[in-house]
Amino acid sequence: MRRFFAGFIVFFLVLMPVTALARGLDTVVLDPGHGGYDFGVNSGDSREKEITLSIAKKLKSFLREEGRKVFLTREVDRYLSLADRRDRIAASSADLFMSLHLSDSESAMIYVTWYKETEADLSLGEYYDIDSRQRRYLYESRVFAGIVGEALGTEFGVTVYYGELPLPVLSATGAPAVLVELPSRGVDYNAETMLRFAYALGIGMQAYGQQ
Amino acid sequence: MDNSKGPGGFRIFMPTVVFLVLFAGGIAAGYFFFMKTTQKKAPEGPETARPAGAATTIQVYFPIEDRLQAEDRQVPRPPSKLASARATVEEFLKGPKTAGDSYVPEGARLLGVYDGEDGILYIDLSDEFRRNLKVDALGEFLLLRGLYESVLTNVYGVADVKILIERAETETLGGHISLMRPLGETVSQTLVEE
Repeated sequence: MRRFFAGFIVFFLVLMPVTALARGLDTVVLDPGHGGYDFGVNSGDSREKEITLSIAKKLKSFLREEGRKVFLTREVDRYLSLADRRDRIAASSADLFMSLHLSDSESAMIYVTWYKETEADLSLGEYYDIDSRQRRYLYESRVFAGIVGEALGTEFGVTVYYGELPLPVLSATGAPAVLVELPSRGVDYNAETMLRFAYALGIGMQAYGQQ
Repeated sequence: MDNSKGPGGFRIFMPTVVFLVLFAGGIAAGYFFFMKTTQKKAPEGPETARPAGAATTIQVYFPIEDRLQAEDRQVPRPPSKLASARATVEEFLKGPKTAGDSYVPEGARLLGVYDGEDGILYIDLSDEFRRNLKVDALGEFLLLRGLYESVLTNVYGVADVKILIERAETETLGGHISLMRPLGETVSQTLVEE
């Protein structure tokens, strides 16, 4: 009995903080791209909107087992405008954000957002604009992108490209945020593959949390 | 008493009538003369500033795979700024002649171009431009950038470009990039690396 309690205490004092919350990443928001009449690109017979939702749900289960709160911007197949997505992300107090999409190629793409102006060029109104929220997290988002890319490359051996684009769901997020595009070509998105993608993304998040 | 009113009154009455008829005729002639002159001057705006004539070459930027590729197109010399914009967008919508995957949406039509007072050129496209677009984030970005670069290269006096779909503002084409602001700020940069 004493051994059991000792093990229990060691788990909470040492392992839990290391495995899950080293960066204080309590709340993760996942954004399955597209939905409803917006199908996205096709991968074989599957549609992007279905693949991203399925992977997001699997990733949610994985992260909840790790002790994190996880929110999805959509839980069902429905259209969400960019404004709706931004509102949901803003309301969730995310510590980490990932938008899931498919690339139109055999490679994976990982984007962080891009701003035309530097902070010094902004008016006060622009500085506090919802689209400026990501500014102070850009460095962390690039680190996050690199770690997630490494996890995808290791698990699937795919080439991962990194880029910066003006993406509203990222620019409105006040936390490290990336948009991940998984390959749409050369991949059969069956249940097992989608679970592997979810696992690889989860490993990437875990590794980022531990840094 | 009656005699004094009769022939004498007629003598006064007739010149008055003649004078009034001539006066009214003068006003009418003056009105038509000045209206004609004004109508001649009115349309000298940008729409008719340049005479239409021989063919000219425009440069159109197409999104092909992960880059923009310029193609030269011969079009009849547009007589105005808006005609130039129309010719450029119509050539863009035809898609590239070069081999390679392009994602200019099929069946998209130009519904109109409008010159805003703020230097923004409003391009109104049919719903096919949004509906038939199946691309990833980079593809959507390159499509918008290609259209923007094509217009700014060939149309003089355009500060920025805004896209309308079926005469209305649209939030996004492919679900990645916002169209709520003019394109200039959105498409100014990209960085893709391995």
